[in-house]
Amino acid sequence: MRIKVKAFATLREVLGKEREVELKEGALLKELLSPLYLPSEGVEAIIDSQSGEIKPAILILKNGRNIRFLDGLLTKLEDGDELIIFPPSGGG
Amino acid sequence: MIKGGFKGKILRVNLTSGEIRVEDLKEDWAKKFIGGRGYGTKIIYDEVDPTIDPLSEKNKVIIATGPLGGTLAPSSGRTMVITKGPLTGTIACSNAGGHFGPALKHAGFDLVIIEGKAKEPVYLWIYKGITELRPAQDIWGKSTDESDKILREKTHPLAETMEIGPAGEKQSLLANVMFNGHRAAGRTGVGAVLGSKNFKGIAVRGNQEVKVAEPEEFREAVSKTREILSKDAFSGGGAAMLGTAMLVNVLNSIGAFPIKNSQDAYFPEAEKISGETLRERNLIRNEACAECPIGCGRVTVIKEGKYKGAQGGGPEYESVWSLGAMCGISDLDAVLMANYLCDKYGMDTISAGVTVACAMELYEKGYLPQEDAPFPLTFGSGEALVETIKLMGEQKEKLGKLLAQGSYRLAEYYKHPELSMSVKKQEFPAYDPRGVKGIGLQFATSNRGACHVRGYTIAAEVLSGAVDRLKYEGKAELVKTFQDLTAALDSTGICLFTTFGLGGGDIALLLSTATGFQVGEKEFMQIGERIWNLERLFNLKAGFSRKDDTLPPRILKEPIKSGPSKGEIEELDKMLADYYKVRGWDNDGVPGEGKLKELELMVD
Ligand code: SF4
Repeated sequence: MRIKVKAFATLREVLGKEREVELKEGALLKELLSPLYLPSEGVEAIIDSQSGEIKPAILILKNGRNIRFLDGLLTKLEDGDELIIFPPSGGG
Repeated sequence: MIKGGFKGKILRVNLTSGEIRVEDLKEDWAKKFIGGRGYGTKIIYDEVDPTIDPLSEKNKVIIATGPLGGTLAPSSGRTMVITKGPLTGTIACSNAGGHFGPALKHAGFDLVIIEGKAKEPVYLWIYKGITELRPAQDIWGKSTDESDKILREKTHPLAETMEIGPAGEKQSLLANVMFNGHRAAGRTGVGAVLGSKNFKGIAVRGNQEVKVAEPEEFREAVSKTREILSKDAFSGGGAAMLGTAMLVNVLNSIGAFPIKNSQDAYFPEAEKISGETLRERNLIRNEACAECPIGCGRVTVIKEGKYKGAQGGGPEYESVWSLGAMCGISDLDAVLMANYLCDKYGMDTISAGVTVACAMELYEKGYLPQEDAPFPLTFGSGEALVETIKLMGEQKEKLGKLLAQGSYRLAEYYKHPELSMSVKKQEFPAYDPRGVKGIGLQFATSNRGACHVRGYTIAAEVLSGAVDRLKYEGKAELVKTFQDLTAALDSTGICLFTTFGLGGGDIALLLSTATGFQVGEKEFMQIGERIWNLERLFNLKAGFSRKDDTLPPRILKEPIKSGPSKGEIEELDKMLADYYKVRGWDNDGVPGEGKLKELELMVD
């Protein structure tokens, strides 16, 4: 299956603006967020290497929903999903 | 005796008599309301009858800093403008960044009260113990950036200035107050009140030091808070890189980015007006307010096309949205041009853009007849945007005069007030409540009409993702917490954006060590609650009630049509009663006696 990954702001420098990733059916978010599929600097920027968790204030959306309110890193991906990643943001 | 932070002096300027008086700051008020928004609100509450016409001589305008202004506290350049607002009829407080607030403190004052009405246009010059009203006839009619320049020529090249533009002079309800020609106290039409008083602005310069009560402890609190801000990924880097416009892609990605007068909430062309694109195409440099390590401001230029060469401050996230997406426009150059024009006229970019969007929908639906429109007002047309802003700013033709009164009065005139995206007649900012539930409750209950910076729940509902944006539970408490925190913060003189890194406790520590007041986090939040309730009491006396705590029917009934929040509406009823309860108010939104006693607001 194919997943679209988009990054914004400072993360564009390490993840690129947009890419498509080919994954096996039923893969979890955790699998996608690894150097196997994404540039390793990009993965380092979003995952805490000690704990393996998403770094604080990194915002990951699956089709517009924050993955924290889905199943976090264990969120199941489906063909055609759009994954969007933001660095810590603010403003108003 | 107040030990530090405050200068302890207030300047009262009566424009009718020309008399200028220096008064003492009241210590007990400072303890209960701090400075800035809190102290200013207390003055308006005590001295201005809530039922008056805001553009009459009886209204007053308070220009205030807080105890942290002019100190080394981070991001301490804010200035508040407090009055009875002409757009809404509510209490109004609008604030701006820059360097004016600290300069006022260095000149020896915590706040200035402007009252009465001058016969001819005047401005105020404050310098080394001199305070004088001077004629402003030859500056009247000039744009805000020109006015800033002339004021400095007439006074001191290094003076800090505050000015209104042509919009304020002509009493447009969208008129703002500008600082140094490009930092805006944008909302609620505060500029019109100064215009109605024939008051062009202030130039100020001073060299007095602002003493703090506990210098050692204060210095420690300053370095601690500065360190937190520089380590935080947003305030320590992201903000300077993209400015507030970084939010375009965030809000659009969750489908809460209103377009075409909120007919939908997802903009396929968002990237074209995003912070990322703005940085690539137009950014000249970043800018920071006084003592600010964050530096979110920008100066931009248009590099090609028919507006080539135009430059100015901004645009902020709110402005690229209101003048861009809300009008269906992805032509970034037209958005920038409209933004610069708003600043020159001295007009609130949020309300201006949302009013254009409303006019476009009225036109497209045939409610605004062709004969009233000098050109086609079509969604998506950058040219129509720029021309409409000119009509509005100059109040040319019938349409220009109507536009200058804001979207509600415009839509009401054409018999479709439901098409105004506003609360209490003030236009929405850039978040669709259908896709972020708590912010809708904030818009509905905000004491100055639709507003995001009275309680920025977006920080928790979207940015940190601490709570689920689509759930209703817990939103009443969330809104109250943000509202109280902001009310207290707005009274200290530091910028709201520090709260992306700092908590109430950090700010209370800065405040305590600067003033010598013993304020912990709990007391700090209670001061905020006290201010919020005082503002509410003013509005109740002005005739507002539960029925005004609502949202436009479109938001309550029409589901979002596309994007990630497709199908959502805002069920405000699921939160409002809860909110009154959490606030200790009755079912009609009136603060109960118990609450007022607890907050020591019963004295009057
Ligand atoms: S964060 Fe931005 S608006 Fe706030 S004080 Fe700093 S530069 Fe000014």
